[in-house]
Amino acid sequence: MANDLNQAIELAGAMVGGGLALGGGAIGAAIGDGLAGSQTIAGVARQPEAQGRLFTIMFIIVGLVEAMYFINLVFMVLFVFVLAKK
Amino acid sequence: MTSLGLLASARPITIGNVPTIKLLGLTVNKYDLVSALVAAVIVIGMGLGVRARLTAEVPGRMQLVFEALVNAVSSQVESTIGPRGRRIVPLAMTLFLYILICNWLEMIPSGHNPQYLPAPTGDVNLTYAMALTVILLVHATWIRTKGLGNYIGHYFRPYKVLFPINVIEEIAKPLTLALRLFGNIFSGGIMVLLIWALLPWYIVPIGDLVWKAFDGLFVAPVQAFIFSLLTILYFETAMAGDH
Repeated sequence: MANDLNQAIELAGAMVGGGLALGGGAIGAAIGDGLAGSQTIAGVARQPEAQGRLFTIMFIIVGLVEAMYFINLVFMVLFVFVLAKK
Repeated sequence: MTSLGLLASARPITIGNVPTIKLLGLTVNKYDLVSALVAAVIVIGMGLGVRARLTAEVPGRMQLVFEALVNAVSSQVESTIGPRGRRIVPLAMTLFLYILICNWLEMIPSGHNPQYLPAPTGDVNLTYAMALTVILLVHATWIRTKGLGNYIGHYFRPYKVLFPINVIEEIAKPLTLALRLFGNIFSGGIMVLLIWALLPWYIVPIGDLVWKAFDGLFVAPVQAFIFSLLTILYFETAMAGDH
């Protein structure tokens, strides 16, 4: 029975840790994307001809920012599916 | 390994159980290897097919696509590295095309547990291998272009105190290169799994279509583009960048 309790605590810890990782990652990614988007809008507003180039740079930045989120996702999968033995 | 039996699905969803075979003493994920080879065959087949029908008069569609791609990559390399970067263009093009085709293999449904044609870039092993190869090439080119003294010296510029940070940066490059691609594509696969297992039957087709449209039209090209663009940028610091 003590083993069950230990396993339950491990699983709970893993779930909470995974949730924190995902939450922090989502907030960071959203803020980063928002910043990139807002600068793009400001740039296009000042100079509409630069829209094509600014769009390209924006997508590059979005890809790089989302990488942090997906790396967090990888760690969530690690915690929940690998480290919490069931 | 936890299975998602706690949620409202009919069967437990298991993630990460992949059939493996032993090759030369190493354990290899079977179906990821197969789909990686399938993607390679597709890319090589496209290349050879376009080469066989190369014409200067009225080019076919495939040739136009390839020409546009080569032009785009060439202009990107030239604007970043300069004329010395011409050797990098085939590497960047191959990376982009191969990763794109690998990511698009996720769109084809091929069963679950085991999935017969998974996206090979959703397997860490492939992304680690590609990132390691690229980074080793970058460092080798760095030493060859700038000399061993300059290469070691770069870790101590602009301030000697920043040496550990520079080392961490050099280690983080292949790690993030690999994990970025892996995370994006792997999570796409898990999302498809969850859509099929958890949503009611009348929403599943639309959800599947919407998610795969987003994954195939946005995530796949962007991640392939970012991998090859970062490769070009790393070569730029190795060949022509100055601290």
